[in-house]
Amino acid sequence: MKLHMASMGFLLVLGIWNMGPLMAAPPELQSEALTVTMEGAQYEHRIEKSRFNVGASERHEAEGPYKRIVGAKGAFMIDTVTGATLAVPHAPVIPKGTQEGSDFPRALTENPDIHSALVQAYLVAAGVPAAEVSGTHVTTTMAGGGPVSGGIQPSQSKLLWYTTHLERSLGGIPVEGSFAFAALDSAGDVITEGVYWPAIPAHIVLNAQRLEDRLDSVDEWHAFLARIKAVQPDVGDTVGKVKIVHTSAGHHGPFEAKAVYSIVVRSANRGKAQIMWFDDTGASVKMADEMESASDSMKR
Amino acid sequence: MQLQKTLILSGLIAAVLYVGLVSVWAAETGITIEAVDNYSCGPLSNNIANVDNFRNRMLSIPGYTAGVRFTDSGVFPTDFTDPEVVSGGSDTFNFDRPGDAIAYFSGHGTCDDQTGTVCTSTAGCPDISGLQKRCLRHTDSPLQGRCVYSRPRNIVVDSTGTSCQNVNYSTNGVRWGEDPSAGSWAGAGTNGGINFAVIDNSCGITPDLYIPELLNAFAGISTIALIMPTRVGSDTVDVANRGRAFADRYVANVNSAIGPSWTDSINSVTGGSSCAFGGGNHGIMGCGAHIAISVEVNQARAEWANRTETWVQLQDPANDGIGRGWVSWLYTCNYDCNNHPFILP
Repeated sequence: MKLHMASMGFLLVLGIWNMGPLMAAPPELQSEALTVTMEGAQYEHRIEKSRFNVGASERHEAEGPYKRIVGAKGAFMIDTVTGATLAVPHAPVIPKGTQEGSDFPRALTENPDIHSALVQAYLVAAGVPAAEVSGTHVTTTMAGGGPVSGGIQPSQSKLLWYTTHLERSLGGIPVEGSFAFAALDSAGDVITEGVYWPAIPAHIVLNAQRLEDRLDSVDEWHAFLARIKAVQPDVGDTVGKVKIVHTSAGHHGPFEAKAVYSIVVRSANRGKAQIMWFDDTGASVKMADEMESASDSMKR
Repeated sequence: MQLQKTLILSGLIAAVLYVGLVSVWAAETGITIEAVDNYSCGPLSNNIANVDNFRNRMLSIPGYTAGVRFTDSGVFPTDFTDPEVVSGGSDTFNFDRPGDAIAYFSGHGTCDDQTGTVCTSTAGCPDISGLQKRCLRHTDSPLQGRCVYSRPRNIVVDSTGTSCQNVNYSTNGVRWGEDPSAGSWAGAGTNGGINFAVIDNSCGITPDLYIPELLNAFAGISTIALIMPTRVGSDTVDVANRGRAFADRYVANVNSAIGPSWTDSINSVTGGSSCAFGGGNHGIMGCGAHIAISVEVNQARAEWANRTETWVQLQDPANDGIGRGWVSWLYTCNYDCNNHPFILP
């Protein structure tokens, strides 16, 4: 609670003048009642709507499928094929070995709820469809260091900043592959942000809802599970979830979106877990951006 | 006549500039990728696509060049070990080639650093000879953890297709980045070259145990990037979009810092499952982080390598690591690991 109060006080001190556009009341999240079939609207973020400051000497660059607005502080990139955007700051110009401590921005707050409310308000005001935002969560960037001879102590890691993500759902079905995130510094400016929020056809949403409805039936569920176990025995009794998935932000082939039953399965022997996707017939699903695309070198 | 003089003069100036640049800065630009999907100990499906997506994205703008690519049975255990440290080591032609800047491995690892032993403090974890220990947060209420240990971390390969093999990068023959500009201080000669390695495997590093698990591998390399599960039972997920999410930061801004680009790339990775402390996903099953670890002779150099070195500066051999005095790290968790610190002291 102390942390919460301190953060609230900090925001008040920061000043409404600076945070005005961010302090608008956060829009209501997608309600449980809002489960009607709907297509997903596309949102393409633009520098005009961004709180990312590229800095002075702004110039526009075009390089293949990428457009960038570059200034003294950073770059805002638009992938013209997918519409995805990514804002990335320049590294500070410091010769190696001349300075202890990094010129990182300071965190807006140590309260992730405050950060998330501000980011949600900002990105929805920019144009992310409020009705498709079903929740938020943060990622947390921290840093530390110490002498090799002294070993590592947990207290050596310090918070740098939070990044808040808007979670997307359509007709009550979570969408995997879309993202809208931003990290705010102590002045309320964007440290980094990224948006990929493609259009999702209504029939994909409908397929996902139908699959979810079908699997609510115990008999249908067991029959479906038997079919996917025949394809992937590793599935075992792992319980999955119906999702809408689509090709990723950097995929330059044709866009794909599918309704799938998604299961995360841990390797029985060692190592990485697998995400397994199945369509409504129980057949395994692979997206176009999950294919290998080169050939091996000659071994010496 | 005047034109001829001007052309000759211009040519001379250009030649001098070129020679000067080459002598000052022989760029290391290669990107090598190695990945395994065809495991006899548990097949995977997205590692090869993951490294291809990384390199294709990197090469979609000028600046870097293609190194070598090996997949499945073409990935040998000796690809990662140093010939001057261990007999048969062959990283010079594979994962740590002179002239390369970045090498990216994607595949299995091992999670034998995690145990089910319940703890409430690190001191309460049973000692295991020769290993360091930590109590890793498992539940908030009651506040409880599970003991983890600094067992050597492994890259898992399967060059025969019938038997998985571990490459221990903590305590055995792995040394990366040694070259004439770095020097031979790590006892591995000067036959390497990479400045940044990505180990995209499971249980790549144990929280807090960076020194016993990774120090040995630094021989001139600036930074090693990994995925760190931060709760027992959590792990890396086999996704095809992690490498490209990392490369996106370069394509967006070549003057951005490469260490933060790795940690920040978790924000663009999708897939996984939820974390017990909120959040989750982002290419991780449960709770975890993208972490970048740098080792250098002193604090200023280590922090610069970890947080300031750009994608362009990475190509300059003058920025190689020259010793093992200080370790700096940077990570981004897929949840609020500030208010849920992963170590119970």
